[in-house]
Amino acid sequence: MQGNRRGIWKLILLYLSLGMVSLIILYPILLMLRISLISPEEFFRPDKALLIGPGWTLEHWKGVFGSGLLWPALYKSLYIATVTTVMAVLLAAPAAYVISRTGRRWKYILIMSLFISRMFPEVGIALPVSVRFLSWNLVDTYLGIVLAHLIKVLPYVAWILVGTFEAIPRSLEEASFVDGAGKLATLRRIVFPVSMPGIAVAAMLVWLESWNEFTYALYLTVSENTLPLQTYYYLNRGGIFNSAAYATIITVPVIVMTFILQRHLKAGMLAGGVK
Amino acid sequence: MARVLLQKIRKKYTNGFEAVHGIDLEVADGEFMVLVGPSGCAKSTTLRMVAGLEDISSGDLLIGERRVNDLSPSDRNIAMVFQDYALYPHMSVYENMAYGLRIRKYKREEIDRRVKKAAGILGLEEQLERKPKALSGGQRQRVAVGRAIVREPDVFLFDEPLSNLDAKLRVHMRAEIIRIQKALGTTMIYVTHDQVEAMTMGDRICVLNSGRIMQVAAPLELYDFPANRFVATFIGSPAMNIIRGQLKKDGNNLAFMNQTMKLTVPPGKSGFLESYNGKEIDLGLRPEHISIDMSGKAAADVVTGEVGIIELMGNEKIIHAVAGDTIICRTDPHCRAEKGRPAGMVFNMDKAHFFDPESGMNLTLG
Repeated sequence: MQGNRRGIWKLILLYLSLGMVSLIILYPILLMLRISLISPEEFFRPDKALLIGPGWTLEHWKGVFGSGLLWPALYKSLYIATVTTVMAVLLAAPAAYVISRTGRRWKYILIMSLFISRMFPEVGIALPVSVRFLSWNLVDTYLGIVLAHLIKVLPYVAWILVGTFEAIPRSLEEASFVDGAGKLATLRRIVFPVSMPGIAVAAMLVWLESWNEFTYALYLTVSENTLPLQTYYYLNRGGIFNSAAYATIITVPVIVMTFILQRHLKAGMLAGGVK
Repeated sequence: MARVLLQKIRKKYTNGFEAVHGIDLEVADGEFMVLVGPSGCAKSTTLRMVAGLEDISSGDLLIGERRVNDLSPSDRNIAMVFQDYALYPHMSVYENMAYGLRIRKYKREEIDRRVKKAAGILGLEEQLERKPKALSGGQRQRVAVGRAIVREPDVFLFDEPLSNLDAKLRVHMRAEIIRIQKALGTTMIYVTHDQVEAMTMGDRICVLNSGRIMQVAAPLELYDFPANRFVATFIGSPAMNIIRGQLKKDGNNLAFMNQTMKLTVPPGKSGFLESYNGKEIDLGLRPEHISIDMSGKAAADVVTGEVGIIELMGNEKIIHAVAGDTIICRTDPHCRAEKGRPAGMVFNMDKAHFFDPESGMNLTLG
């Protein structure tokens, strides 16, 4: 009986702490949502009740949806984030595999050199990049932003994937060789499927990075904004409420994405394979 | 099915380390050959060279009549079982076993027939749809074996397959693997560091040390007639006693003596040893060939020592006695020797081996 009671207390404590952590994480998001739904009169009232209070309105959302600026920006952001993710994984996975199978000293040098592009502040290389892209007619194109985002994300993807591939025991590949598969078949049928959790993590980070990206997008965009640029566009004009609505729109796919991919983030991808 | 022939096989790494020093070994068609040796003796490297997972620096490797040095593992028609099993974690048991056949583009019905047959042999019918992580250690081991046997290869290569299993399961799987190998009649090269596994499983045993073959022989021959001191002490537990001494003429016979003992060399062996008269030599005698005499009546070849550790095994007693060197005797469990007391040890000199102290060669084999 006493043990049972202790169990209940443990449960209560667990949910209390979970609730507190959730509150800390959720507070800014709820605040953002509230600002996108608050009436300007209430917002500018000195003794306003921020989270819970009177003065709700859908005006800002109507404005955002009705402006005709949301859908192109949303489409552009989705497109760029997705293409960047696919290209980053396709480019980085083979490279990371090779790096993971080289000797220790070379591995270190290769990984370090991957990060050279990350050793400068973005604003420092965004200008030279955009000047170069201008002469290649890549400014204000989707491809231009995708390429710029790849500069940013490739080192991270490669780094994560090197770690993923390193965790795969060589004996798995050797078993596949002995079973009659060549190197490519082994990569396709054994190494990549077994690495799926790591690849999923890398893909998720790339997608979020590209979805959020601001600096390169700012430098390389003339006509059609991405979502973060569109948020900035309103903010720049004092449009706090529209800006909050945009920020909410940016946040939603991030949450959805995280929920989808976290199912792949389970530990023990190699469980049962060796030993 | 095929014989495997290693001719002057060498393995030298780029850093100059020579792991395998030109070994010659013939594994007959259908034979169960065990490679055994202490860690670092290059037994696994040798196996991996046969598999094609390590390059051969020089020498010829033949499987059947083909020289396979330059063939990739996939073209050698061998199947390997790895120490860590190396099961594909994302595939079911069925898919694990079918993988090699699918790669080789076998027909669906043929794959199904072979996998079902292997599952039957190994008792895995119930587990075919499971993933490796849902299996016990012993079942995983079986899947690894199953993956090898569905291929119906020329040669099985097993790399310490039982070392991750608990003792009881190991004994069981040992018998299982012998049964399967005999039933299929496939040539087998089996690597282990465990001399019990080697003795119980092999048709013949190849003892390796530091990249050199010490002896290749049937288990009992290896035990009774070790070619050198290394094999003598490596095979058998507790290990053979090795005692340093000198050979001297004592009347008509040769005698082995040092500060604590004087033993008569039986006439049958003295012929080989005449040239060692007056020289240093190593005497080797297995623990079961030394008996404890508490009566004090034994006349010849008795060495008196002080009893140290006594290990009671139930069916026998292992007695460590000190007479200069520590001498280990294997006796009846009812032997009344007591720790700290003197005991007479009777050496059965007919079973003695003599080794050259420098080369370690067994001089009594002739």
